[in-house]
Amino acid sequence: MNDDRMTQDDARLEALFTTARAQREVPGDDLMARILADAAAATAARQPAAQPAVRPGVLSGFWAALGGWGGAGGLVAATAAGIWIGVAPPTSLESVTSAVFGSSETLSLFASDDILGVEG
Amino acid sequence: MTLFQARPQAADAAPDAALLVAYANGDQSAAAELAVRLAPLVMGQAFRMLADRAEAEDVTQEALIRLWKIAPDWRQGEAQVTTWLYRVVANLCLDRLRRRKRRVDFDDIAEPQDDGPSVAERMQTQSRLTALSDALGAMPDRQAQAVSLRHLEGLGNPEIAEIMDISVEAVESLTARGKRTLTAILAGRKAELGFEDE
Repeated sequence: MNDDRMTQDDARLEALFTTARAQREVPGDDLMARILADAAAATAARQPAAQPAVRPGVLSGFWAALGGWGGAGGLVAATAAGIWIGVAPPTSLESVTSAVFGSSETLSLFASDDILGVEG
Repeated sequence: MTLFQARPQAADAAPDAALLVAYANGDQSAAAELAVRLAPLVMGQAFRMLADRAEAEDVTQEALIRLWKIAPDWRQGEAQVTTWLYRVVANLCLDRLRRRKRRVDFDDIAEPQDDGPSVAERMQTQSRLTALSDALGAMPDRQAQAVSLRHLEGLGNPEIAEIMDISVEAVESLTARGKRTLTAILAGRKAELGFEDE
């Protein structure tokens, strides 16, 4: 009884499947046109967007010569350090200066009261 | 009659994957060739699952849009294009069947517009297609996918296993359970489907 029922159910299902398998819907011309338009649109979307041509200006050339932000930062730091050393030189730097240039002496080549050298 | 009938592929024709790569490199004629080959297959599968031509057309267009988008990343030799498409179309159709289940009354069956001599037969066919489609939408996804690929598309279990990325044994199990589920869902609609108890 159960086997008969299962066989009958299987036969009915198979009849449904057969009906479905017999369907042969094909795409119409409109759909094919849309599909090809989609293909072209997807190709166009993959192309990199054209970059507008920009002429580099004088300032941008100068900025690039400095090395951009990195170069400019180094330049500012070096300038600040130079000013600081000039205003308040460290003692160690003064001793180096003395060692290199020695202490200063004043030498007078002329008597202070004989500017014109008339006394011989 | 349409210009775009499915046609047998010549033995020396380029494989689908090669055409896809050619299209990805900008060859639109390769896309046209692929569309002629694949759109009828996709449309057929979608209609058999959805029993609705307009919806099947939408699925066909959407599936091919996905193919065009994936083309640049397609790696030849990894999978067949048709295998990938079977999976995409089955999923797109099941998504629609889920939405339809909420939107349309289960017993709402479309009737043909004309009143030609075969109207009774056509109504019977449409009733069966719609009932089967609705039942697929009421089944668990994996069962519906396995049953549709096996019994509506007529694919072999190894191919279904590749499409669903599962073992052949799992396909057999899903198909058997799916058929039992279908039988249970359709049990109350025998008379409507032309299946009178003997």
